[in-house]
Amino acid sequence: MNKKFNFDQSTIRILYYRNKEYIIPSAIILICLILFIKFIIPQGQELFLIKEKEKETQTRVENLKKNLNFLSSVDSSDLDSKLEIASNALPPKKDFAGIINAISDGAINSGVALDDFGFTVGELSTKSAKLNTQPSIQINLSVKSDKDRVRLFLKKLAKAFPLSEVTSVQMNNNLTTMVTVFYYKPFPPIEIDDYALPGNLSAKETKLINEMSSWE
Amino acid sequence: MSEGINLLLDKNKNAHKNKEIIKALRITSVISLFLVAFFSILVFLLKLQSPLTNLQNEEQDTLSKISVLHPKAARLFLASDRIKNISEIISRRPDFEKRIAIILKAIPNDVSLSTFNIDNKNVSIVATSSSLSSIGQMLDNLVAMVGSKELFNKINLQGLTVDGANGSYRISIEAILL
Repeated sequence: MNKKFNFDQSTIRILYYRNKEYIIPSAIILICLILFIKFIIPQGQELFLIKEKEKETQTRVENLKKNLNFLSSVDSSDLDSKLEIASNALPPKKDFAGIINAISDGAINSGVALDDFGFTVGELSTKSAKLNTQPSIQINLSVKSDKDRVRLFLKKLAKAFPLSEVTSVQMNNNLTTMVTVFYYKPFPPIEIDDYALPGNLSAKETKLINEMSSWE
Repeated sequence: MSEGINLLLDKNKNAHKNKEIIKALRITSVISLFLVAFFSILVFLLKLQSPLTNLQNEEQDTLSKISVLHPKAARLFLASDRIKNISEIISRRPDFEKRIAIILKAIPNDVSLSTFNIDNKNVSIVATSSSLSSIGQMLDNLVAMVGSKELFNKINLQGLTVDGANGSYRISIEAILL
């Protein structure tokens, strides 16, 4: 004989009323446990993340404030004059007029005669004398003078704008030919990161700029 | 009286045990409720106390103040970049004027230079003089520079010829710079 167990609503109700005192606290404990695992623990973990984020934000804010104070303290006119000197020394493009001026001023001040003003401009395209990865224009200069005046010319050229570098000197009696490169540097693309601004010029760099200001 | 056949006593014992379980369950549920409420309030208060929002506002505020100074920052960046390059070029470029001065100082007055070539690595000199001792003096001076590591690393005498017709000596030297 098959006994059929009927688990209907009245049975549930009877079971509930009979075990009510167990069921309710057990359900509360279970719900609390679920709440604790599902909500309170993740919220607690989130608190730690918030604390970490606070620390990071605090550091960033301090850094930003330091940068803001630093930028505010930089003297605009002083910075402009330094940038002007630096740009004259290292022009952003091929400064032919500046080069001719530097050579002719050097020649006049040292008393050498430029050989019929016959200096040979080397390759002027992008390929031109990329010496040590620094873009430059190579010029072969011929001057007529004695050795002392040539030395003086070299000295004057070393302290002329745009910056130049003599890579070789050939003296034959009174005719000296020298290979000179004049440097330039295009302005790089500027990406300002407010959190990592360039620092102020170092004492060495400031000294160099001050020294160069007397070259002009 | 045997306890094994006392059904009433057993029933009381079970009821007592059930009551204890119910009591424990109730206490546990109340504690659970309390703990959940306590931690919920604690987390809420701690979150409420967090200065993160204020910090984020302060960050945005400072960023907007800095953005006004961006042109100045750009000029500073350009100046700094350019000066670094200039410094690099100046420190790297050889001082030919000084080198030539040192070499010329080593050459006696009665020795004339017919060819003098110098670059970053080498120096080649062709000199003539009617005095052999002056030529010797020049050689001594140049060799001394190798010894004192003043300018040269090595000196090679390429040749020494005598021009009988003019009565002059011609010396050819190659030197490797330091």
